Amino acid sequence: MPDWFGSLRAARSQGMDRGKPEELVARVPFSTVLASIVGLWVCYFVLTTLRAELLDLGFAEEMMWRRGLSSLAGIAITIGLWLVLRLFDTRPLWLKITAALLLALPFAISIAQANYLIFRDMEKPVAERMEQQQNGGIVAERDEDILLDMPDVQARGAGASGTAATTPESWLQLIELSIGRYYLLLAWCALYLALLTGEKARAAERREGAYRRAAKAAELRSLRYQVNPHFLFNTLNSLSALVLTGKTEQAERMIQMISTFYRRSLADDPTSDVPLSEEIALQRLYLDLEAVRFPNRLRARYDIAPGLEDVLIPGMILQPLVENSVKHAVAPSSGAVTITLAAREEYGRLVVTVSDDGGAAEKSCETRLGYGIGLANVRERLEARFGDEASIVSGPSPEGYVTHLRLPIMRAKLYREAAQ
Amino acid sequence: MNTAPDAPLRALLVDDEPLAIERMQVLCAEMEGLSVVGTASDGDAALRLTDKLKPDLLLLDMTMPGTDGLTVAKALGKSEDPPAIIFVTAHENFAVEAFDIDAVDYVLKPVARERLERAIARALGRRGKGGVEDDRWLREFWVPNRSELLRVDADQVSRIDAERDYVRLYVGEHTYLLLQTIAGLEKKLDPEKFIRIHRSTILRRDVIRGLRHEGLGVWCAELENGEELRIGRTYLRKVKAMAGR
Repeated sequence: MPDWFGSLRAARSQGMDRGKPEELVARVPFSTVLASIVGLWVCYFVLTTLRAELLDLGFAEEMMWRRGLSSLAGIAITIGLWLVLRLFDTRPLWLKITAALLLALPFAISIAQANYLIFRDMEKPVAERMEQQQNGGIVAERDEDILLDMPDVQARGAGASGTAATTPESWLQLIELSIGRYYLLLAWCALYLALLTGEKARAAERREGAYRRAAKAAELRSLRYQVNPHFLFNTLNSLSALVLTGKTEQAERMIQMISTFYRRSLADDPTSDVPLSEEIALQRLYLDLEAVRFPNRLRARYDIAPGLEDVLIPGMILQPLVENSVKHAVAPSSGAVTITLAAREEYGRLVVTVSDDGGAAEKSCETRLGYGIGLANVRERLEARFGDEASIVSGPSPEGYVTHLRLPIMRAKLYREAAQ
Repeated sequence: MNTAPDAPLRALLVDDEPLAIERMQVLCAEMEGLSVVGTASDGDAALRLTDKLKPDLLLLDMTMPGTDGLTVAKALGKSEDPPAIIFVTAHENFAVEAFDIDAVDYVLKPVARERLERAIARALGRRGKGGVEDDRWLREFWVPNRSELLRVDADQVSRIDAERDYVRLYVGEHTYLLLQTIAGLEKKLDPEKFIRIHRSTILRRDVIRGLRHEGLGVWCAELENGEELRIGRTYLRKVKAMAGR
């Protein structure tokens, strides 16, 4: 019954989209409940029909619509059972099971009663026909079968009056039918409890997922790199020098650069990804500002492979690396140092490289110990954002120092689609 | 600094950033009682020029290529008749060695005209006083306070607490945070005046009013202000020795 499962799945995904307060209380959505009940009775209908065909009980047409009617009655009464049973949704499991065991009984009896009323006038002709068949050598199975429309008709044979449910025989018949329906309802109750448990597990998962997302967002926020405050003071010092020496045009240009840099680095959502071109532009701004401080010592080179401009990377992820190069290569060196930002694609991944040739200025790489904090920040941010998908490799090179970041390639367009 | 008291201070400007030098030149040109005799863009040049020009005052940047400001100041400190030093820096936290140097002042970049005037006035005031009394122990702190660095006499500090990478100095009503280890600071403080009572606490001896046994070998120090502080086991013997028991 693919439709049945389909509707179950549809009901589930609807449940996922529901609002927050609903999410906290685990309820099996009505559509799922209805699907399970209808499924159960369709199943019953199909199997009893199949059985009647196999045993060739005859009266196919008369029996068919009666069977349909009895299935509809079964559906209605099972929904009634659900309405009562759902009051126990939030109670402990043992109470739910007890409730199911006890509640199913009166509902089973009413189904049996409905069945009895529906099939009452068919009893006699069926019994007669069965007797004929038995005489003809065909032996019908007659176990205590929950699929029986009318149990025990043969046993009572044609002599049964079958006029009212007041005779001891009809009482027996009703009890037997009830027991059959009782098992059927218990089976449905078990299915319902299973669905409810699944729903609860999903609610817990949703909650956990929400917490995890919040925790991750908080982690990313906390790892948001703070631009070294000394950069601002040193830059303002340079700016003040331009003002005091009357170089107003240069000063104005510098003010614009400072405000652009800080607007971009402060205003963005801490967890947001930005296109590579934007990140490079931001670092270019930073290096241009530092170049005002170190006019003859700082040179910058940009080597971005074409076609990578729109690849997304976490915002400000290069800041600590570029800052390190300025602090540990440019500042301690009296000669010119070139900082290179490069990006290329390698085996389907984005490789961003920050390198400098300030090695000659350094007596040894030990003095670059301060690198640790910035690098650790980049590493933690990549880990929080990409897990094992990203890596960072860093170390001294023949010229100076080099750091490679390897990231999965996410493009702005694909990314937006994936987010939806 | 053995020039006539009314002669202008002869200053050497040291900074590795050309714009920072330019800025200081403009500010100094407006200042009375000060004349700039030279500029240097790194520590080695500063030492060379100091030797050659014999300035009265160095306006000294801390971070420079090669020999940095602290090293320059230390090297000059060993020389005869060293120039006065005003540190000019963007960093409000220094290494503990920075306190060892008997600097006239520490000013933060970008220094305001008035703040620089005050620093120069201090240098003028110190002129002729000559060498320092006792170099062995730390006599003053420079603590970040709002946008300035504040000079605090070591004797004014009543208590020092370790807070992660920082220490908190208690000075009267105020407290100040310094990027410093408590162990590094302990070595620089005069043990006649200060005592460490806990892994994370140093007290000025005269704020301790008494010691109290809490039981089970746990001791507390009672302070003047009524506070009680646990004494660490490792430090108990020393504290008791101070109390004469």
